Amino acid sequence: MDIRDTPQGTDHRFDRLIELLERTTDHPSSVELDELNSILTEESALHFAAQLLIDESLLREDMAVDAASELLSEVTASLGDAKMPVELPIPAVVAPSRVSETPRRHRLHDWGILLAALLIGVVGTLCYQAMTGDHSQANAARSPVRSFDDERVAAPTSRGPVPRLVASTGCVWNNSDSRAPSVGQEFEGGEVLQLIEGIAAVELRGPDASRGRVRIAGPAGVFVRSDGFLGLQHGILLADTRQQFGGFAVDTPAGRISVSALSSVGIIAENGSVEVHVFQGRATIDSAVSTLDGVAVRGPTGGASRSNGSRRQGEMTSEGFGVVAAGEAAKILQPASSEPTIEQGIASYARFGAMRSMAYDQLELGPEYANAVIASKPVVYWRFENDGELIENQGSRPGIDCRLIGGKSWRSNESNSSLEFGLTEQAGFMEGSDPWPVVPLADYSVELWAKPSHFQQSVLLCLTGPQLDDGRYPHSLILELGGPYNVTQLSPPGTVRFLHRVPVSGDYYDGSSCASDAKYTVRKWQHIVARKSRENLELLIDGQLVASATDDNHLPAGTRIVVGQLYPDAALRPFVGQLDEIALYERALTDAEILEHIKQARIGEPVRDSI
Amino acid sequence: MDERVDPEQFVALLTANQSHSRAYVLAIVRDHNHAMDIVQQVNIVLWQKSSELTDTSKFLPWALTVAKFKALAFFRDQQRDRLVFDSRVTEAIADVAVQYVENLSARRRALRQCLSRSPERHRELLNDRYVKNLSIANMAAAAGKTTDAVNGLLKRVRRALLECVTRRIASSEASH
Repeated sequence: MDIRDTPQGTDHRFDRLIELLERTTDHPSSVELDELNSILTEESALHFAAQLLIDESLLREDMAVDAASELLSEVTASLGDAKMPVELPIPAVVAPSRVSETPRRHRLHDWGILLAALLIGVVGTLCYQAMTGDHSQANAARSPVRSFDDERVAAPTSRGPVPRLVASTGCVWNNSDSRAPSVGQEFEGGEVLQLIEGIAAVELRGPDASRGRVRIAGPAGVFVRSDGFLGLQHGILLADTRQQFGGFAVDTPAGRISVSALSSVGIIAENGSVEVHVFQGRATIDSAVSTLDGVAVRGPTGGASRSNGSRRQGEMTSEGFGVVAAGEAAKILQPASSEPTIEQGIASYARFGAMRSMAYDQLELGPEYANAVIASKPVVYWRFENDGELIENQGSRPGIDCRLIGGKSWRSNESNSSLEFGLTEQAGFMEGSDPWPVVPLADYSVELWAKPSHFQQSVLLCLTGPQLDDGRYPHSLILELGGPYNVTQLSPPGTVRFLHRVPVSGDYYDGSSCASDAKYTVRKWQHIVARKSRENLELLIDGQLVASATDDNHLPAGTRIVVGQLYPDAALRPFVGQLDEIALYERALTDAEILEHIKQARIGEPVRDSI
Repeated sequence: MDERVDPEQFVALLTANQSHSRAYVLAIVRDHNHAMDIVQQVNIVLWQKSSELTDTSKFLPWALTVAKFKALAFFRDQQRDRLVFDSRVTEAIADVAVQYVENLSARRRALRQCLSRSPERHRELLNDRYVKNLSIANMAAAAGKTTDAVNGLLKRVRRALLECVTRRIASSEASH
């Protein structure tokens, strides 16, 4: 039965049914719930309600495409605001971090990671269908297709390259054929790759063994053209032709971007605009060349000037119309209702933060830092300076050592070692050898350093109670990162969240939580403190208060410390990135203490050649 | 087919059917956050029992059966004041919703077509409600309207969308 079978006289009742179903998410009264259940005694109303609710689920998923696009804008904007040296020297070598050591084929067998991925992927489901065939056709129609014998782009080959996935870091996919690509897999023309989160590297290998490489940061949508080259529907892509590749082109919603030989070019497609950042070599915006008559061109100072076809080359960029040279950037705005606009600027590495090597940001923690922490009297202090499977507690509570379980790597510089998770074949995490706290706590603090690999739904540290009958674990505390999508109302995308939940529970609605206003930064060390002082819950990032809530319940005793995932026996919401210097206190750290700890830590000079 | 489904194939099936599980569970429990939690439990059960699946064509019915039992178990374990539907309605809607979830791909196509033809302000309304999770009161305050006005518009939009989807599915079925 469907709505067409609805008798005329029931229209009003079905309208009321819609209203009541909507009320159920906004604190309905018991009278309204009774009325709802009464209406649903009729079979026609049941069918009507079932369809409404299923459509609601689909609406939430479909519209997540727009939400992802919005997030991308915020993320790239926040990266742009980061204090990054735009004058970084042009990198000579691609630094793919450890991605090549992380074959997705194997990691997919880790069911915990899979389930975490699915949790994140649920909201993003269907994104690919919203942007697949229709979109690529639209691109083809809009983009003036230039031949590859254009003098600025060496002809790759008559047959074109074969794209192949060569590395995958924390990738969550949602593909047109519903299969997650594995490392080594080749892609065919027409395939659409929807990367929900993580970083994927795709090699373009020509028949003559020449190679180019493209790195994609999720959330992003990429399609494979019939000639083997790629199109970027939305997201961030870094094209690299510095290793024996003649040059290639990337289709974007604003037209075709041709990347010359020996170049490194970043492209961002979001919300109707496309940015091209050239770090080495040069790129050509083909659509801009063909549609430049009457286009407004903005200079780096922000002053706009009108361009017309009679202007000479060199007025848009230093090299000419449509050509973006090393160190330059161009932003093409294509509003639906008006003419395209091009803004000129300076190439920004900060806009491609997720493409940075994990080694970009170094944390230097000498004895001064440890002394400052110990002076604050932590009860648990795990430093990760020795590379065994058991990290001894340097805090004041006896026992409560740290057990390292599963895959992990050690990352060291001259003054410090830290742990890296998620970039190995097997998922890894840490747990305390003994319960903590030993008595209920009115005040407490959790302090750690974290460097996330990418935007991810993951747990930094949590306290779990005994396993429930249904296999889940309840929590009294969760310090977690939000992924690129709005998975739950309580965990905003791209933010850090601090949950204090008493009594220990596995229910979403229990406890009190606060999430940071701003997005966290990927591939950069951040000092994070979650503290409770009487009824005040506060979250501080790099010494700044970023969120607060109130809850006067004491943190219950006897819970288990789990670091790097949600449950002690399943890799749900696994953290991908680096962690260091975890300290737990049975009191609230003061602002002065937190600032002193940060002061004693040094963020090393950025490593060159980091993109 | 009598061989075990290999892990990657199972992953693909699980991923491909997430929307089905989620839509089905949401229809039963109504609450979006509860639905997410239950789907997570469903995934765990499916994976733990993956060795029992020998015929990939049976995956969706199997997944929906697990989802139904998990949703009903959730109903049983929850305090009554946190539930929307009573026990009879919960079971009845679980039975009724299956037929629509099994045809989810066609429904999704139809919904997308209908949405693309909806006025922009209607799509914004749906976005505010289901993506931003705004309450009716907040939507009304932001728009400078009364809650009755927003309620009325939302009712009309949802109903028009449902009628459009139903027409398109029927039209699609008739052309095959």
